[in-house]
Amino acid sequence: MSTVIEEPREETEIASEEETTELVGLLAEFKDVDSIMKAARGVRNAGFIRWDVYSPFPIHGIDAVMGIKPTILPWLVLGGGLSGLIGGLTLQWFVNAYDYQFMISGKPYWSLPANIPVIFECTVLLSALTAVFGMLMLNRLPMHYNPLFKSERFRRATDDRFFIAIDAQDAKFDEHDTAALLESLGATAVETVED
Amino acid sequence: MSHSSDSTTRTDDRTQFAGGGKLFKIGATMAVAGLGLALIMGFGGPTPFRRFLFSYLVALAYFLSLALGSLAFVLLQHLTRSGWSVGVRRVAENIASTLPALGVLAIPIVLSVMMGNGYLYRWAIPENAERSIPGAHEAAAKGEDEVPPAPAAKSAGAPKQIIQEEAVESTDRPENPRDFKLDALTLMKRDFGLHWLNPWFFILRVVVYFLVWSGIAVWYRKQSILQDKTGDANITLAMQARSAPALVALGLTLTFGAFDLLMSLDPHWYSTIFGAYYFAGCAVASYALLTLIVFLLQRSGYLRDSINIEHYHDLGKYMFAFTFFYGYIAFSQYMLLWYANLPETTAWMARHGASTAHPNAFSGVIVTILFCKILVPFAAILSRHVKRARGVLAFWAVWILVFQFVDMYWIVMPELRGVGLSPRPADLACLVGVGGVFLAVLSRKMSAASLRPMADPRLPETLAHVNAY
Repeated sequence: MSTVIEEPREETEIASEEETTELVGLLAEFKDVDSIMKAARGVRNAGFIRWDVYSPFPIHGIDAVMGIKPTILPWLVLGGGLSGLIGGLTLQWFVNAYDYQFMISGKPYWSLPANIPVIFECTVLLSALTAVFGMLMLNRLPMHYNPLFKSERFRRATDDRFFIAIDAQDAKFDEHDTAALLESLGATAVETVED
Repeated sequence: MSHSSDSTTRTDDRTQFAGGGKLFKIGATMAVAGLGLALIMGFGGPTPFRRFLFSYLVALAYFLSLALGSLAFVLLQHLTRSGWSVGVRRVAENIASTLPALGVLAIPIVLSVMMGNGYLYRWAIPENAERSIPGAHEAAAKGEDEVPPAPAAKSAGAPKQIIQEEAVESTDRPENPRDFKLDALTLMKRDFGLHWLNPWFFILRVVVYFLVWSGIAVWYRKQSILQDKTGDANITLAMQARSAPALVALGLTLTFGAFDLLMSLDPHWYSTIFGAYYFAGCAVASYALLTLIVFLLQRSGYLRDSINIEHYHDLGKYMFAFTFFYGYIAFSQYMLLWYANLPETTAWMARHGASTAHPNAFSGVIVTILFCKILVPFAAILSRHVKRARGVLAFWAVWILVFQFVDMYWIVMPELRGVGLSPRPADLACLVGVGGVFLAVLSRKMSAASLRPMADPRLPETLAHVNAY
């Protein structure tokens, strides 16, 4: 008898584990560039903020359709480049003119022409590093896990299908209405993504 | 890359230039008036036409840089099988096809060398030991660029001195070519070894340069126009196949052309980067001219459908990149000469105003070049927004074209030693005259064919071109 009492408890434990999988969003599949452009416009007009488009290759003009703001990366790179410039100049001043003065072929201890190659290289170095790591940071990369990877269908995003994923955290999100919207925009398939 | 399917060839684009006749008249008038006035002003003075030749060389080197840069652009687009540039390529082909006319305009330079008076190139005086520094010929024959000290110097107890007549000469009086004394290094270049600065070898080389340049320019334009009619894609393949060897030939002739026409003004001086320096100026100035011509054509209602903001963006990228390239090369040349501090190479830099210890009239010019040809345009065209604003980009194109002229002036004019920075009406007259010929020929070429390739296989690509970043 005691076992009878215990059985439902185990079931509730399993049920509670299932409850931890929550809805992450909706994934809609499209067949070609034109339909995904149209759908992206529709999703944007519906007022969604937290959503993205996935395609096997870059689509010209998709940024404008999705309303993506210009990246701030160039400003980060400018900042990195200027830091390199000032850093390189300061380094040479400290080393050659201040901390360890050493006369080389009658040249002044601190003269700009001789410093420019090092300044140039430091500027390029910090610009390039800022560009690479700034890009990774802004794209939230590297990202080792994404719930979308659970979808079998989504694998074709690297081959011949186009996808729109809408995040369940979006204020406008509603499981049924949003799915209906995506279907009305021409999606060939809509599925839920859970995690 | 994906393109929407609605952007195929449009037929309502205005591609037939109608203003050629009017521009030709303006150009011809400028040419006759400018060159005529320059020739009249050339008479007089103790050395007639010496000033004219220098002014003329500045103007010729300037317009030559525009044509050669455009030729390099055309070859580069074929070499890279570039799609975006098809719409603007014909304009560059037209600019490059002024090269045969510029070859004709080089005749006065060749004549001055043939006459052997040394007015323009001091090495072109007749082989005459009396006009070299004593002992220089013997030293040159032995391959030394130093001569034993002259008896006078020896009696004064002076150590063995390097012949450096340019470095020590006073710059406050104009020179007379009759007084030129050639040093051992110059004589070595002229009378020994390769006989590089031998007048007849020089003339042969100049002829070869212009034949190569004109041949490439004329052939590429002819094939491109032929394709307008036939639409044969094999023409594109043939142009691509020849672009690599043509670019090599252009690189060599341009480098040696810059050595011969500009660097040999001071036969004592040498800078191995000088060819690249001239090429950098060619590239940046020709992209500026290309942008400006496309802008003016579009303002007059031509090519409205085939060239859009994306093409300006790319031309702006070229202008920006080669402004920086020019700065890199110009600074490299300066810094290496400054650092090595060898008398025979720093003398040129000092004469051209680069010495802070002994500044001269050209010091202001070199600082102007540093700021106005490198730093200011670099900062100005850096932004994507500037590259995508047609009017603003056209302004910077004009700016670059102005300072390319200042650069050519700075290269040539200090070699007219002893007069300092002395702009004369003859400088302007030569600029107007050579520019008039350039404009007249260019306007003829522009009206002779459509303003863009009509049947290039990559035309749809250029019409649908988008910069993703």
